[in-house]
Amino acid sequence: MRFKYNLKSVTRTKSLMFWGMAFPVIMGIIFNVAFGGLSSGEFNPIPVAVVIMDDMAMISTAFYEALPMLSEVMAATVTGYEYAAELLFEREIAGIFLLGYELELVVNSGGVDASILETVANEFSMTAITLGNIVNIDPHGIIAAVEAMQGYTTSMLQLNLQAVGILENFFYVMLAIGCFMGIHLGLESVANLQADMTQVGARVSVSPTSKLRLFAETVVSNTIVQFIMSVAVMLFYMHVLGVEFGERLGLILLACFFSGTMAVTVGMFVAAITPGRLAAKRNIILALCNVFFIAGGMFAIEIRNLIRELVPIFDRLNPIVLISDTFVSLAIRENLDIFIQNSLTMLGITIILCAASGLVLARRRHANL
Amino acid sequence: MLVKIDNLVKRYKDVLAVDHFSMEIREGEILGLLGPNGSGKTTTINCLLSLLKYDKGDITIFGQQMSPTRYDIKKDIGVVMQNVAVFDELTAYENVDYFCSLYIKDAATRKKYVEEALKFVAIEEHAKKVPPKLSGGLLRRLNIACGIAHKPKLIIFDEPTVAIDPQSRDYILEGIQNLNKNGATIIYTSHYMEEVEQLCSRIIIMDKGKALAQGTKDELKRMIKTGETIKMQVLDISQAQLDGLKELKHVFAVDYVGEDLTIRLTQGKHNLARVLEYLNNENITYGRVASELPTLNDVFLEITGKGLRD
Repeated sequence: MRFKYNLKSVTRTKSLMFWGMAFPVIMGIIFNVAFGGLSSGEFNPIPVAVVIMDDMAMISTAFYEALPMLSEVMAATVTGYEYAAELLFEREIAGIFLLGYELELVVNSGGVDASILETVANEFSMTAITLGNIVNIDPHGIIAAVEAMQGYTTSMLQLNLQAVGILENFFYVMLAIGCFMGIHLGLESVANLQADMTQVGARVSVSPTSKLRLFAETVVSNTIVQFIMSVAVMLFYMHVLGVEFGERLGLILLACFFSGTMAVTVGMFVAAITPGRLAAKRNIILALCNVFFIAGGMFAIEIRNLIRELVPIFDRLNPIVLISDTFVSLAIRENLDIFIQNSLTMLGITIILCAASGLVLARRRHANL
Repeated sequence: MLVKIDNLVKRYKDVLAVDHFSMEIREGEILGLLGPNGSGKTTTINCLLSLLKYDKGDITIFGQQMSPTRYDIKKDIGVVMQNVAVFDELTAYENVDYFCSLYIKDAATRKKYVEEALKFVAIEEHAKKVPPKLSGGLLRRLNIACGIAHKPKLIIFDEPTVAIDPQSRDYILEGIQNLNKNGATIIYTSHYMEEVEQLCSRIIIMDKGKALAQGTKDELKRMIKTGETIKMQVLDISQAQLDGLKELKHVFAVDYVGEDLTIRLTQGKHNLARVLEYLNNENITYGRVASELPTLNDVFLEITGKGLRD
């Protein structure tokens, strides 16, 4: 019965619902609007028109010859300029490559497709300049240069496909962040078990129900709420935004469960062991989240690399790193090594923090209220 | 004895919040803890409930040593906190049900108790409202319902009428009397002497963590020198005439501030007549004469040298 009220209390707390559910949903919508079309599981080659002009320079010829190798990135149709312009105007293609004395690209709007095409054109031009320089300095080096160009084409392809992968990964990362927000849920719920934090905590503390029992009920209800929120976000991504999570849906759900539960227990642990009032603990959690995010490379990957080198244990146990790596590994890796390793680590952390928080709460005697 | 506190000492660092405080409560009593803010009433209650660690002293409830894990004792205690302690996200009914569930496991019994508690504080109509939608008075009543729904033998009310309207206040005081009539023993803390005087069968006056005096209200009033206070409006009176008033039989203090003359007298017959006769003889013009018996504020004033609300 209390379990039911715990669920009601949490689900009616707007701030918790916002961070756990509304935030990832809103971010997903924004992302979907901005980069729509790339969230599907398969990457469709970008439709482009190729217009062959008079007096094609070497770079244009090379580009024309490289087109079959770029077929996974671009679906190219060779046509006249006027028809190409019409297709671009009708938005049936994303850009026009003009192959003449220079390699030129015409796009009519921004977006990811245009960015990828610009990257292709720029990189190709850069390589051509390099090739030209090699010819000028050492004409015999042209064979090696051409090989390099072919290598470039392959790496370009990988780069672009990787770029698309990152876009897909966004939804995994948002799921991960939604799970991590369980830290706030943990904090707020433990506040209502401690006499020195809230009035409800004081009233509960004078009741004949043991703290351990109340704590256990809170852990279970929080875990369920957090899991339901993650599932709701995932269902929204799948059925409203059309994101495909592939065949690993079950594993993603498991990742949600482990991640959300660990985040909740981190919040509960901080609430249980730190001194001060609720507002002070909220600030501690906020500071801690920032530390986890920064150290986890969420703002600059170099910071994570540095932490990994200097304090590897911190990187290994950083909750945001554990959670995000687990989700991203499901998105991009074939094997499940990281998923299994991180899930076990999260389970271990959850058990240790739960036990520690429960004991602290049950044994605490207040010197003042 | 239902409750016994013996030589309780509680310090907050350098501040002595409760200073060798002792008290006893008999079954069926309404005991009032009367004192100004910061006098140690709430700290004493928190120590009694094992919410706070204390430095020294013994506390027994229902003849058993109290401790945080004495759930057998706690199940018969109801607490109405000084500040409203409810979940903002749950309705009034759900709140009472939640707190009642900490004491009563059987769902059918609990349903009955919750409905009775809501009816007792007359907020059945608001049972489906969440606390932020309730007025201050209704919120206080909900707070009471949460504390008493499980039908405890001992109920502690810690300043339950702070910042509420007179109607809600009267309703709450009447409710507490009814709870007592139904067999509950009550501890009531307040700094409102009128409430304590109206409600409590025995009173302990506290200040600076100490029990300064205890007894029934009549016993307390008999402990002090003041037996009667005469107040009146006097337009003009000389210092010599004021000194003359002080010389009258039973008069022990005379204050003249603005146009208000206050004369304190020990208990005696014809005090008022004697004072008025003196004023008439001295041709002093007076009006709005009132004679008052001593109040608990007088008791507090005489014991501590300051008023309850100073």
